[in-house]
Amino acid sequence: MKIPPLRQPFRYYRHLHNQMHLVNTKDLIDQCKSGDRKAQQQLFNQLSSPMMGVCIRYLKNTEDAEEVLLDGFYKMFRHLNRMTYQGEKSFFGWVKKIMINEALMRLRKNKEIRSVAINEEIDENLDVSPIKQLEVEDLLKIIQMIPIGYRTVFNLHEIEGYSHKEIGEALKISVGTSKSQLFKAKKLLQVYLKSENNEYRTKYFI
Amino acid sequence: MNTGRNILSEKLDQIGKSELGIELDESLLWDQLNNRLTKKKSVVWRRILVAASLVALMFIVPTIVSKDTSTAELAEIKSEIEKVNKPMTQSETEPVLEIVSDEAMKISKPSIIKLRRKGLDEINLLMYPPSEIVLNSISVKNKQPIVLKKSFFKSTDIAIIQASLQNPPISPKRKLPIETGILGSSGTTEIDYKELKIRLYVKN
Repeated sequence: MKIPPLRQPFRYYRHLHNQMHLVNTKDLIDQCKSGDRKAQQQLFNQLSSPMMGVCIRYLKNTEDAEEVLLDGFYKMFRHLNRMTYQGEKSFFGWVKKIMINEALMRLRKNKEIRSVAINEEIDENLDVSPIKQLEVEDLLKIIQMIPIGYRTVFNLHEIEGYSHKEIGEALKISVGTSKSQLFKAKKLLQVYLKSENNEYRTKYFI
Repeated sequence: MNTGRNILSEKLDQIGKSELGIELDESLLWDQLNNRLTKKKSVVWRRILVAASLVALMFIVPTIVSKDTSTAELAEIKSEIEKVNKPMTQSETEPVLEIVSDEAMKISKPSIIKLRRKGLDEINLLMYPPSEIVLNSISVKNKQPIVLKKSFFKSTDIAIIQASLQNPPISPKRKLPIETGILGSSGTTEIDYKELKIRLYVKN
């Protein structure tokens, strides 16, 4: 089995570093706090791609994702003064959380999250670890193939690290529903990965 | 929330523009965001201006209103003065005098008894030549420095004068400057009604 190499170094703030040759993140954020529009644009340019990655993971289409991205950045700049800078990783996490909350709000608004009770056996240990070996582009594509309801729970549990209780509170669904939605998502992922015609299978596992 | 290392999350967090699978027009998105941020700023300024205007209005309006009110009050007082200064016609005074005369008859009796105790004779009093007593100056010091002049009565009939003094149109305890014209003499004095009554009789 060919395992694609992971990119090194693994830094959350790679994007912040890439374009920050002259100004460090704290100074840039301080400038943004003082209302410097150029600094705000610079920060936006540095964070827009990974944040768009977050939005597109949660939402059905690019238009919704772009709207949520803009809403998220708008909120981020408005609340920047209240944020205490504690390092790049923490800052990146803060912005990401804003985007996730905005995305969840949009999903709730569009009534795309339904609390459906599913009476079926759930295998909580269903293994989908091969997806960890996917290239980021393919990983994003395969996640986007999952229907919104299952995908939201999958994103929150498997990527953001939320517990089922936290997911239940965030999405106003029961713990059982959260678990069953995750199971469904994983099952679908398995199908995609195991399918003979699936490009991922031929690319990574044969 | 599990904060341990998560390979999926790490991978996705470092996604680049080319890996998104969509065309991300950063400059277009920034323009839209910039517009929203600018609009917000102008909205904030507009709100500040509105708040400042309201505060200014809160100070200006009461001043204008009070000015208007005082002007209106002044006009009202002026018209009242004009009304009072206008002499009463015969037809207007007659019914009033009739009532006053009737009342005087009721009141004069105990007053005359009191005067007798003081050694004054009713007949003697009545024998005096008719005195014209005019009470026509009352200073009413209100908030505004305006002096109201009003004739309460004008009569040569002692009973009417007496009755009017018994029932003053203002509080008997108030001291008023009263211009009196008795037997051709005139003068201004500050006196209360009870005192005035006695003094008039004593003087007469």
